[in-house]
Amino acid sequence: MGTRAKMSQLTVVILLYAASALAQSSKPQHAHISLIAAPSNSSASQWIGLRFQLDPGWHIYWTNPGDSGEAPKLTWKLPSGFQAGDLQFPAPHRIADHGMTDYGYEGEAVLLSKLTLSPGATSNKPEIAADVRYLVCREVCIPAKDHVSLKLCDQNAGAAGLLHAAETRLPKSLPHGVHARAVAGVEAFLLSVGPSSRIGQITDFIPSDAQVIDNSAKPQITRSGVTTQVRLKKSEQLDHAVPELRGLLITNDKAYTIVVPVTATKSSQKIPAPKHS
Amino acid sequence: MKRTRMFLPVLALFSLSAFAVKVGDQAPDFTGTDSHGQTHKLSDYRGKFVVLEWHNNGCPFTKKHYESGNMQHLQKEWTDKGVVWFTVISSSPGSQGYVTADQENEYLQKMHAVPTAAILDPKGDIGHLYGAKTTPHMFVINPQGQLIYNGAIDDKATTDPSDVNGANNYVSDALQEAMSGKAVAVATTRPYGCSVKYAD
Repeated sequence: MGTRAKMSQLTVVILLYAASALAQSSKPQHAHISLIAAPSNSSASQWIGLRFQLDPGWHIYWTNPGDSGEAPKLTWKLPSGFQAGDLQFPAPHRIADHGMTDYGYEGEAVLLSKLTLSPGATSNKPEIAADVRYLVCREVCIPAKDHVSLKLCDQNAGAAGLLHAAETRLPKSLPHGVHARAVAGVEAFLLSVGPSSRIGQITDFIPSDAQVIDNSAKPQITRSGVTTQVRLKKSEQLDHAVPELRGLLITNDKAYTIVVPVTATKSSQKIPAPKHS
Repeated sequence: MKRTRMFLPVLALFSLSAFAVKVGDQAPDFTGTDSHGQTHKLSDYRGKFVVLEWHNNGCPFTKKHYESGNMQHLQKEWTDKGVVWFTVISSSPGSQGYVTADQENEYLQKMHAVPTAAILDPKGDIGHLYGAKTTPHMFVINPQGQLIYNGAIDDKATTDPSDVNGANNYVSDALQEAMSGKAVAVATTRPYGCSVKYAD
């Protein structure tokens, strides 16, 4: 066999290798995920972002995925001395899915975790990593596993803006002086929030728990006097009394986490649907 | 006056069945054709427990239960005890999980799946009749023809096959309780999985 033949064999092998590498990197993931961190003022704690960049039309899920789906799960691999707080999710959107309603994110989403370094612990140029399992869906769903890592010394300034934006999108506690209460009727819960002037226009309520609210029934929101009333149709699967209503109250520019004790009405009492003006 | 009062409950019943079947209701009757071309009429199986399993072979939640062998194990266990098990496929032509009769028979053989029959429902008639939302979505019907369970297969709403062990299987619980004359403790749950790929 001549040198030329050997060379061409080698070329074929290299080409095949390159093709397989290309095939691997272009496998249909539909989501690019990465860890991001910004230069930190505090040596003790900082936000770490898990960033999802999704192909058009594809989505991932919130902690309560709604009628179908599954939230991402993350397992940290951290150097000793570091701890990561629970993953915090920004307020999700409603996503229509074959007549059902899911809660999740399209386009881009940054989930946050607070990274802390134990007092006295030191770590030189630490690398943090995580195994991420998530379900990404469009017409169909694809389960995916990924390993992401980040050298904290490589943190870039562009991440600061992304982390700040993500932090502002995290649900907050209700503003001081705003109160919420809930009454359970036969078919619906009636949530009353006020004073309306201190919270802004309520546009939606997204339940934290599955099986409590009918996800596809849009909340009926009416403002009467100083309070805003949100009528939430019960889930067909709800077969027990709910001691408290948990979820996100969405306004035109913010999301609030609420946990409201539920008062039961007499079983015969019906909560009327609001009249549309 | 008396006539009006009689009329109202009838209306209420009608509007309920238009949404979805509820536990305690009579399970709506249907006739379906399986992957061997045989027809099955639900009411012909009075006297037996019947399980309906909504299926889509491409859905990761369904795959979790087939690739782990969990679904086949349940099918074997309960059909051995006289239960009628119908796998129902409501994916529309061209959508994920749609299969021809031959493709379904090949799949059943490859997966060693042993339902009583796999009913092909490409128009989604049976799916809509029951309000089947996800794959898997499970229904259990008692020998009197009443629905006694409607919901998820188990309490681990994930795609991870390792979650099958240690999960609480609602279908087995319902069958066990009903067969020993007890009330089904958990009779309605939120079904989890992929949306059923109905024709729009």
